[in-house]
Amino acid sequence: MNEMEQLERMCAAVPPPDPQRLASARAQLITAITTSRPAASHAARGPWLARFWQLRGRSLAWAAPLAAAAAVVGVILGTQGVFGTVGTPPPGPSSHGQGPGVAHPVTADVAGQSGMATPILTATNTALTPIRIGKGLGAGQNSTAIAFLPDGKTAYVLTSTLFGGPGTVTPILTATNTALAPITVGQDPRALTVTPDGKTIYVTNYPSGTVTPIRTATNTALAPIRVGGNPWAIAITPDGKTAYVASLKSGTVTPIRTATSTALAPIKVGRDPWPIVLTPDGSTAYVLNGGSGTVTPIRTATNTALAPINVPEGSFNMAITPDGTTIYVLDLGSSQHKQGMVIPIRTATNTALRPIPIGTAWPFVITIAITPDSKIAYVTNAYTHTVTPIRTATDTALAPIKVRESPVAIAITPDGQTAYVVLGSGPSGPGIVTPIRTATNQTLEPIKVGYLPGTIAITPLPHR
Amino acid sequence: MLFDRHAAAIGRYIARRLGPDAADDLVAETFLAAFRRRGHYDLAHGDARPWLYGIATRLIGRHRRQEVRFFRAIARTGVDPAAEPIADQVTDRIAAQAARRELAAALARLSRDQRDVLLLVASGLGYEETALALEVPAGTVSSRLVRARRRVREALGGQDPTRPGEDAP
Repeated sequence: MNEMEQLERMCAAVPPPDPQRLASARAQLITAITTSRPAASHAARGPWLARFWQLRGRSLAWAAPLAAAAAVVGVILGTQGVFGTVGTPPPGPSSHGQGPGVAHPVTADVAGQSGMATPILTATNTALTPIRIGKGLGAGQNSTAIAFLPDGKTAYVLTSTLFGGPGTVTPILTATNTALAPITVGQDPRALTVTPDGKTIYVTNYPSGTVTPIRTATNTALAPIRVGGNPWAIAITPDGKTAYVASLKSGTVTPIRTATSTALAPIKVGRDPWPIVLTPDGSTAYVLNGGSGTVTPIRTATNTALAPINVPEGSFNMAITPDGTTIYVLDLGSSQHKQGMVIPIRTATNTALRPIPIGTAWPFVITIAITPDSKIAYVTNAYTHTVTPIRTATDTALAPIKVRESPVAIAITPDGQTAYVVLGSGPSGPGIVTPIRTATNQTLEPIKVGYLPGTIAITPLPHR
Repeated sequence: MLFDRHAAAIGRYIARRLGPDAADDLVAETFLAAFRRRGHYDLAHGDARPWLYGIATRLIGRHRRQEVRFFRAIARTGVDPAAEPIADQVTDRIAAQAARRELAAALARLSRDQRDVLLLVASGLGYEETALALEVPAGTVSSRLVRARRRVREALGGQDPTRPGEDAP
C-alpha cells in the first residue's frame, strides 16, 4: 500500500458525526441565521465555539453529545441555493400597460425563507405588515417565486418544502394582504407562470416531470400534465393558447395547449434547457441550454427548433426586452475565468453580439431585470455587491451601483421609475430591499423585509 | 438541503484534521461562514462541495497549531480519536497502528499547503475540486501533491510499513 492509499484509509476510518450532533449544529445554524447577530468574525466566536476552547484542555476522547436545546430537526437550506434561491427565470413579457386609474396600489412583494411575504408600498417605499404564508426555514420551507394575476387582485407565492414534502402555492388577496389556504402541488416545484387572461397558473413539478394547472377562479389544482423529465421554466404565448415547458432531463421543450391542458409532441433542444422566453408577438420561443452552451430558437407557428446560437459555457439565465428586440444572456463564468458577462442576442438575426463584462461573478448569483421601455437592463452581481445598468441601445454598461449586501433578485415597477433589489444575507439579520431610482440610478433608503428573502414580484398594471 | 447533503462529509474531514470535538463546532461555523461571507451561491449551476471544503480548510488553517498537536499526539500515543478502532487481526492491527502513527508524524511535519492538498485529495476530492476549494490552479495542486507525497514517503522511510521488507511504489 503506498502512502496515498494509507492516507485514504486514515480518512475513510473517520465515521460520520453523530446524527444528534449534526441536528444540534443545524439548530444552532438556524438560530444564528434567524436572529439578529453581527457577522461572525474570527474574534467574535459564537457560543458553540466557546465550547470548543473549553474542550481543548480535556482528553481527546469523544465528548458527550451536545444537548440539543430546541431540537429543531428541520432542514436549513433552500432547494436552489445555500440560503436563498436564484428563483425562477426572469418572467416573460408581462402586462405593461400605462393605463390611468390603477385600481389598487402597486406593491413589491418579497418572500424567501422566513415564511412571510412582505409587501412594499412602492408609492412610499415602506414595508406593510408581513403576511404569514408558511413556516419558513425551521420547517425547511423556501418560497422561490411570486406571480400576480394581471388584474393585480391576487398574488401567488410558490413554496417548496424539503425532504419529500409537497410544494404549495399560497394565494394572497392584495386588497387586504391576507393569505388564503395554500394549494398543494407536486414536490420541489420550480416555477409558476400565469396565463395572460389570469385564469390559469402553471406550476412545474421538477422531480415528477409534470405541470400542475391551477384554476384561479376557485384556487384549485387540476390534474397534472406529463411533460419531459425535470421541467423547470414555463413561458406562455401572449394569446394565452400555448405554454412552453423546458425540461432539463429530457432536453426538450413541451408545448401545452392550454385550452385542453394537453401536451403536444416535445421539441428536442440542447442539454439542460432551463430558462425560456417568448417574443412579445409570440412568434418565437428562445430556450437556453445550459449544458450545451447554446440558445435554441423555436418557431411557435410550427413548433420547430431553428439553428442553435452559441453562447459561452457559463451561461445560465436570460431575459428578453419587452419590445422583443434583444435577449440578454447571463454568463456566470467558470472556475477558470470568473468574469461575469452579459451577451446580447438580436432576435431579428438570431446572432449573439460581443459580451459585456459585469465584474467577477462566479460562482455567485447574477440576475437581471429590464425596464418596461426596454432602454435599461439592470444586472445584479452577488459577488461584487453591485447592480450594473446596461444601456440597451448601445449595449454598454454604465457605472455599477453599489449595494450593501449580496443582491439576489430584482424587479422594476410598471412605470419604470424604480428598481427594487433584494439583498440576501445581510450581516444584521433581516433581509433588505434597496430601491433604485432609475432616472438617476441613485439608491434610496433600504427597506427591511423578512430574513433570507429570495424573490420579488411587483403588481402589474392592467392592459389598456 | 445543502447542510444535510454535505454536513457529514465536512464533519468527517474536520474531525480527521482537528479531532471530533472540534468538528462539532466547526461544522456549524463552516456553514455559517458560507452564509455570512458569500451571500447566495448559485447551486442550480454548480456543486457546492469544493466551496464548502474550501471554507472548512480555511477554518482549519486558523487552528494550525491545534492540528499539528493533534497529529503529534496520534504519533506519540498511537490513539487516533478521530477514527474507529482498527478492527483487523491482532498482528495486522499492530502493523496498521504503527503505520498510522508514522503517517500522523509525517503529516505534522508538512507545510499547511501540503497538508491541505494531501488531505483533500485523500478525502475524495479530485484535483479539479481541490483546486476550486483552495482557489489555486489545478497545476499547483499537482505540484504540491507530488512534493507532499514525496515528503510523506521519506518520512515513512521509503518503506511500506504494512508489508515489512517491501518498497512502497
